[in-house]
Amino acid sequence: MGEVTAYIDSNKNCFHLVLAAILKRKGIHPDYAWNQAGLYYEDLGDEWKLTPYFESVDNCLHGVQVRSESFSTSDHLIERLDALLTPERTVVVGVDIYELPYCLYYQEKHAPHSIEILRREDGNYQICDHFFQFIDPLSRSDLKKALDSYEQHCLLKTNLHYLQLSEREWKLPDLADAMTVMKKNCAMMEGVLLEGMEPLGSGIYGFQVIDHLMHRLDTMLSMEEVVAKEIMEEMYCNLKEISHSRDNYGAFLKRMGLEELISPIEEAGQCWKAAANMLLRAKVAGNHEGMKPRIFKRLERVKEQERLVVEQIGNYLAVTGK
Amino acid sequence: MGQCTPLDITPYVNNRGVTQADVDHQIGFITTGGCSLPFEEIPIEAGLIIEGVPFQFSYTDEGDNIELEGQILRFSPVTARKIHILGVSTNGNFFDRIQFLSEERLIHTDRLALTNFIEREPFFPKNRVALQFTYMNTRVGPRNSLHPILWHTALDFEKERSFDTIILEDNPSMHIFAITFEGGGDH
Repeated sequence: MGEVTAYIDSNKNCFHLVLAAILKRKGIHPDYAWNQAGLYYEDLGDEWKLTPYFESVDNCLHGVQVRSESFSTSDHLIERLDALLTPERTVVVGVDIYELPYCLYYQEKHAPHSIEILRREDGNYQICDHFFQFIDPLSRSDLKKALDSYEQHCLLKTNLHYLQLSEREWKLPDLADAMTVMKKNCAMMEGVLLEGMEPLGSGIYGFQVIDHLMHRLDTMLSMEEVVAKEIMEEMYCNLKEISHSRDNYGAFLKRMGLEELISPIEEAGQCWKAAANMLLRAKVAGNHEGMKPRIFKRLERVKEQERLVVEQIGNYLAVTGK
Repeated sequence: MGQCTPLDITPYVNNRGVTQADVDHQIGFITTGGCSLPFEEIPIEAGLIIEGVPFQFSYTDEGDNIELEGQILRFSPVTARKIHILGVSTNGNFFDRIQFLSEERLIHTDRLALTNFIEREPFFPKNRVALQFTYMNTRVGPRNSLHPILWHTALDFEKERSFDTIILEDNPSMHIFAITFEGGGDH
């Protein structure tokens, strides 16, 4: 492995940034991996699940698998980490930013985060935090604290991920793969699960999510502003992730030579991002009631664009798929 | 190049995007995090000329830029082949619709695209650097490690068009600092 640099891409979250960096180092352009642009919402009472994703990121990378493992203790994870690290293989681990000494939020804020462990070095770990653009050693004890805090405060199971690449089977996605991706994305938006697609839970899929989302936002923005702040942050992150998924879907189609299809996808991504930023603005500046109609108007445009995306891709599939 | 006419955006400014370090840096609000551009590095009074196109800035108690909120900009009729805009996006790279009307009638719709002010390279191909700053003001003071950029973009109508109204979208992540119309005739 040559010199490692932080992978920068404003359309990826911290976990996806690490996977993208690893793929790129293996000579696979990350645009091939991020192509899912569905919509799923599940009302869980005070909480919710809202995601554009429905499969693993390796869905159409033949011969590449993202392996994930969970552990009951951080000691078990570290033991496994030491066994996995080789000059060719790095590992992604989930940590709590609260215990990362180099982080802006050290000892201030608990939040789940992903970092790449590059190698062991003098009893420490050489890490790359792509999100915060930090490449330096992290002591074994700090890593253990960050892993323990991840489970204790972020309420997530200690986990690691790594890439398994089979040189023999390795193949970039072709047009048939791209068409499968498009079919799945359209099906997700129309609320249909195609054969082989696993349900994500008992929630709802596709266009109808947007109406439920508007209802949720209506409730959220009618709450006392101080109380609403924390959940607004989470909703902002969800909306931003959906916008990323549309931008990445567009980048995937462009890489597959289907640039003529991406205009409404880009528009949809922009509308989601604009809605996310409006919500963030309401959180910071207040005046929730004033921002409500503006967010709703933008979400109406989202609906319009998402329908255009499915219509246009559907037309393409109808003609090309014959 | 045709004759250029800067538009006075003063009636529409609604956001504080330019502040002075250690004077009023805490009131900047070009981003939700409270960032702003350094006052002394923008020729507010003299204006700016880029590739022969003059721009006029505005600086009032109400602000110094238009944060897009669906404003309708009305002015005396102009005939222009191009419209030049100085602006930025924040917290992402944004494009949105911009509509041109003449006597209440829609005559042209275009896409206004502005790169994030913290990007080092233009995200949108039509964007060029208008000004790159030596530092950025934040809520807690100036930060020398950040070098924001004010972007220049031009929308080309391909032929002369007359209009008296511009309609902007509601997109508070986009900010316009100056607008200049360029006519079709040579000068």
